[in-house]
Amino acid sequence: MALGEATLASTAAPTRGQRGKRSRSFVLTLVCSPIFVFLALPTAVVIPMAFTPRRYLEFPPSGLSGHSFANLAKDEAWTSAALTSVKVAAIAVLIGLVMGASAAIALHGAKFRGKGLVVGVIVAPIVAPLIVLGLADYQFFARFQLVGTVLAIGLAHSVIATPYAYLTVEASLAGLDPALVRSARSLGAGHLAVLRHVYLPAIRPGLLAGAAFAFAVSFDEAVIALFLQGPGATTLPVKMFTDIQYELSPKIAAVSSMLVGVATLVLLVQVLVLLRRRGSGATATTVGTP
Amino acid sequence: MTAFGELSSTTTPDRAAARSEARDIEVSDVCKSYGGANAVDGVDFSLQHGEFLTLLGPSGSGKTTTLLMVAGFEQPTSGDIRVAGRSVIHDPPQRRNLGVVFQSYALFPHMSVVENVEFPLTMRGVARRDRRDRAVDILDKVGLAGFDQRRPRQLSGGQQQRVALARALVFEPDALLLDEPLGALDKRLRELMQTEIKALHSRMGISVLYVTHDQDEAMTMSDRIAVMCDGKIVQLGAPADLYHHPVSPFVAQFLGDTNLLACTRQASSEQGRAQVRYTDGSCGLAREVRDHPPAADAFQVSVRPERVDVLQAGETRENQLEATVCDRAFLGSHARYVLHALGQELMIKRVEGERGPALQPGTAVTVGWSADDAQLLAVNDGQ
Repeated sequence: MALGEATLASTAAPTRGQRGKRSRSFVLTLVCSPIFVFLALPTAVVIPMAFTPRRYLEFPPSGLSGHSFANLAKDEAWTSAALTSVKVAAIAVLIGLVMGASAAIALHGAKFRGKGLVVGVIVAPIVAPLIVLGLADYQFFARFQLVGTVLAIGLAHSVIATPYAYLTVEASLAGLDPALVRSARSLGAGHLAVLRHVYLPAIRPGLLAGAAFAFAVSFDEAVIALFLQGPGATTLPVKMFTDIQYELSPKIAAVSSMLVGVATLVLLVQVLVLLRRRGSGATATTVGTP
Repeated sequence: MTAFGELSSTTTPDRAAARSEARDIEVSDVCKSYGGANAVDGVDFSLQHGEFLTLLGPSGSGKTTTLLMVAGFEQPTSGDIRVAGRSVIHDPPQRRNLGVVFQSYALFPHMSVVENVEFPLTMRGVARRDRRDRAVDILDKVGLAGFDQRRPRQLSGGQQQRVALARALVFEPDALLLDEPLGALDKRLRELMQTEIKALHSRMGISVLYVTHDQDEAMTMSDRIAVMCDGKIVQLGAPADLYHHPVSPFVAQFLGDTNLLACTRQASSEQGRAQVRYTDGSCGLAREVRDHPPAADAFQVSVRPERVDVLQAGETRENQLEATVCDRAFLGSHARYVLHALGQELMIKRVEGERGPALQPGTAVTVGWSADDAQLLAVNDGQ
């Protein structure tokens, strides 16, 4: 979650800080560095722990070995948990994107009483306590006997993924000239053609960012997944949680560092997309507004 | 239109022939109200085939709302809109066959110039080769040959405007609607584009409905101008007609500079003229508004600054006033004076030199103008 919020803030203000004074940026670095260290250190500690040669967790590691990773790959319980997590995240990303993007497009440029309320409801899952969501999901899916299925966890996760998709798509629509839509329609485009030729190109970066967030959110969500787990539906975080109660093996550290790796990768893709968009987007705005 | 006649899917020969005397757009008694307030209030006009008609007015006068209703982006509260003889009131914008150009150009940023221009043809299912030919042809017409593969953001404002025009023309719309299309350009480019749009209009013979708040732009380009105020058309006519025969102080002031002098209406005389008495007691003669019986109790005479003459000894005019020179500004082609007369300012424009020497501030002069240059106007509230 911490990762999600940090990147979200940078998406919202992409142009800020391009022309800061040198002294100001120095002070900024001085103040921010310890904060970054404080935020990143606990995560970073896990990585050396994963390379311990022992059969238990230790810090600092007494040597260097990759055996915990090798064990992990051999253990079918872990690989199937990873696969489950990917499946769940796929469902969450797909549904979250469709719902978030359509909400953002529908609300784009719309003015009506109670719009704030509608947006509030869409974004609410971000702040809703996960434990409450988990309980509600459990009771809901129990009625349809879906508890313990990948589908149920995926659907539940799509609820918390939707606001992220909505926010990123909404942010990418903020720069869209409403005249583009009108212009397309006057040129003969129906609603579907407008969606394809005007909205889709505009929201592509937002969709990508939204997919990254939705994936990250689903991939490390443990509370809801714990409520809805079953023999065939144990996600990676749930497997870690249950495992840690029985044995403190370096496998946990290995999984953790892999999760950190995945999150970092998602973040990097995000940053790359953002940089590319800023590069081309900046030129477009300068010419567009003389 | 004829250049593309054989490629058109919508224009049949019959219809093209019928159109020459037809009206391309008819707006009949259209109203639009937002929560009780009338943004457009009984607007009524028609755009003749091949005509350049401008809706001119200050912001909030309802001109853009009117255009958006014609284009189909706003639904009128009442009234009817016909395009090429067919009521389009229930048609969505994509079925009205009108080319619209917006102030922001609204080019699709992810498409090349030629793809932008092809877009309306793609939407109409025109075959790929045909599409490309027509797009390249029209780009050539707007002076952008060779720019096909550029992206919109690589073009200057004026070039983007041309692409927007080409895109709005390529599918042979029944009329072209332009919403303050030159508002974002600087003055020189704006003047250049005015000439080019006008040239394009006469070359292609397309009907144009143009919206602007710039009176010079309206005067330069239009066949007819509809001056709008508070959601109504206050006067509709040729630019010269509006300038010389305004029907209200609002129109007189909105189109060009004018002097408005309070007066009372004494009696009408022959040939649509009325005797008036100015506030200093002097009498004059002014033209009355045609087909417009004066029903107000307050009147003004409107006289253009360039029509006020400084009289030499012995010269007389139908309207004469004593005035004092207050200020002079030399503007090259002419000089602009501010005089003091009737307890208010009176602006006059004078070509200096042969017609008379420069007047020094403080000089007392007699100014006068003929009855034909004086327009008697009824003062209504607000207008």
